[in-house]
Amino acid sequence: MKRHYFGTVPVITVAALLSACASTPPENPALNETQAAYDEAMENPEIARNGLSHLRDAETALDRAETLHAEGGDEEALGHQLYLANRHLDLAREKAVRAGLQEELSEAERQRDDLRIRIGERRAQEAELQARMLREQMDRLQAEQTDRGMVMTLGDVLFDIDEAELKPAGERTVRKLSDFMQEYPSYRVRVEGYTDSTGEAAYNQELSLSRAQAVENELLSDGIEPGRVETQGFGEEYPKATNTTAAGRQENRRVEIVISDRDGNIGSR
Amino acid sequence: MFSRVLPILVTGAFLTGCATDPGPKPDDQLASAQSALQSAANAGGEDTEPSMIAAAREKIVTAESLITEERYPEARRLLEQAEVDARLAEARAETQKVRDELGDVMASIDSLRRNLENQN
Repeated sequence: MKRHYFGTVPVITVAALLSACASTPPENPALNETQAAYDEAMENPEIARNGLSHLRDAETALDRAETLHAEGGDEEALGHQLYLANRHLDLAREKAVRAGLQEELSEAERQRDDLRIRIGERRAQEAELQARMLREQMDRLQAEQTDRGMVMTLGDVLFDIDEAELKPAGERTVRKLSDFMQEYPSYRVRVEGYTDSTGEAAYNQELSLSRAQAVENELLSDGIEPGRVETQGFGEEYPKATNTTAAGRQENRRVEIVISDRDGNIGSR
Repeated sequence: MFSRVLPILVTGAFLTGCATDPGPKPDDQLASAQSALQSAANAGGEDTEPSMIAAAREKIVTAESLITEERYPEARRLLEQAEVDARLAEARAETQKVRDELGDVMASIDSLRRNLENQN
């Protein structure tokens, strides 16, 4: 036994004094085991660092046990001190175990936070990419930002004169819109028809609606679900330009396609 | 006659003092043990170390009846043991909390890793 800790010197002295007058007491296995356990705990740096106060308590109890043993006295009191010593050793070991777990926990928390940051960065990158792709799509559709949202305009030249038939060029333009709608299934559109002020208002209203429906039919034939398309005919209302010149009237004869936000909500007039 | 009896009485009193003096009543030990037990129960020791808590409680109950019989040394020992039992149960409950927390964090690391892999 090479114990040279805290208060052992007085114990050794007392033991030496006692053994001087009494014969050496017989070995006590329980005492020996506790002494060995104490030495082992002291030599473990984790336990020594984290459970020092418990080790001191264990030593106090062990000192008392050794004194009792040396005196050859009360077995019950000796057993009691050994019980206390062992519990204090358990406490010291428990502190070391917990300190180890706490270190693991800090490391795990660091890893977790790091992962969260990486995921956040990845999401931001992805959102940015999505936004850029959407902007590119809108550019391809030549959609313009308005109060109602992104609006794509089909000019009069894409329709037969005074007819609701789309010309092949008009169909190609609508195809770009169906491509977009297939790629972004949460988006909806409202197709709005407009005319100039020449002729009967009722006729114009009907023509504007027919042209809007022609665009709708084209979308549906491209496989877009009916629920994603609305139509409305505004006739002569909301002119974009003057109806007093030929150029102005041509600008007023148009179909506007209002594109919803990503949740399918469409801004209205 | 008195002068003959007195030394005997004194000697007798002295002897019984040596043989049966139960020492001080272990009030402090009782209070410490009870407070350690309460603290262990508050920390969740009942879940982590139910038998250790039960043993500590039983030791305190036994000690209380020993105190009424003025068997103070035995009571004191039981109370000292109950206190360290309770403190160990509390320490283990505290360790268990850290272990549980570590388990939670590891689980969240797993799910975050899967999340990150799915994004790729």
